[in-house]
Amino acid sequence: MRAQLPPTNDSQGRVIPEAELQRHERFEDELIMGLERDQLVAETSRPVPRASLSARARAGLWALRVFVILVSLMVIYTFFHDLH
Amino acid sequence: MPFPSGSFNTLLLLLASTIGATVTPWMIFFQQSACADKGMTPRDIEHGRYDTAAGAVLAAIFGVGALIAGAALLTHNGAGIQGFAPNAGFPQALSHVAGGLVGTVFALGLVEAGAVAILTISASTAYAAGECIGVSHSFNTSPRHAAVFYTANIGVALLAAVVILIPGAPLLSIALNANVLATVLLPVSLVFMVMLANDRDLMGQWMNKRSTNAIGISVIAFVGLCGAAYGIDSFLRATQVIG
Repeated sequence: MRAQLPPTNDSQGRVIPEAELQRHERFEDELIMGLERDQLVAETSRPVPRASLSARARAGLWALRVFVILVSLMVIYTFFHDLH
Repeated sequence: MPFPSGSFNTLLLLLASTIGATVTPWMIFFQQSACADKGMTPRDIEHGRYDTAAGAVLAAIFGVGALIAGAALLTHNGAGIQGFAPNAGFPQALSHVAGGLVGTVFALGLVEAGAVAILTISASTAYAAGECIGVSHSFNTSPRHAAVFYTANIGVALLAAVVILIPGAPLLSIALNANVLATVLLPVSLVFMVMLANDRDLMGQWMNKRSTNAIGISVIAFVGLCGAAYGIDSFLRATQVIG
């Protein structure tokens, strides 16, 4: 919500005085405090775009997938083997 | 009890299991989902850090306390739990050695730990299920509007209760191996967390510093190594490749 606040310059390029900015922030704080929790969560929810990863990062994540699956299978196999 | 044989393998089992029980992948999901659910903002980061630091210190103190309490049995010729309290748990064995009050306090600690675990683990599963399916997942929403969230929450708790109530189930082995599995799965969550923490667009001024990354990557490498060491060693023993 605070990310939607105007910058320190208004739409006509004039500098907003510090006192007015602080007044605006206080108003925003009071507004936030007045929201219900679910309203606040919904208001602050910001979908982010899919990350663009380098080829090295993607290869690393695939290696991590293979590592996790292989070692998990080993642990699960050992657990059932030792049960019997 | 299906414990793997060999002292080195047992050491790896306990090491990996302790890591999985302490760091836990589900706690990462729970913490971020709970922060969002409570409507926390960047202004809460400072208090969140104090909260996390206090939690880490207290958890370490209580963990050390449990280990010291466990060592109390070793001074009695290593009789172990079964020697003091056949067919009973550790608190009862402890009360034979250190008095009824100590055993009672330890038992209350276990009950409290179980109560916290059942709430947080089932909640983290419900949060994850809601996020994956893309439906409402918040305690601020009524059960009628977040049916998947509440069903997953209660369903996981009931499933855990059913497993515990199975007659003769090897509960200690299940707990240890579940924690080892958590250790094996942990690098995935931790790697994604470090990647997110290094996303400048997402994190802004709270982006990870180099020193934080160095610590984080070292922790991930250590956790991955411990999980892999136990998995590979125990698998090679089970398949009798090594003795």
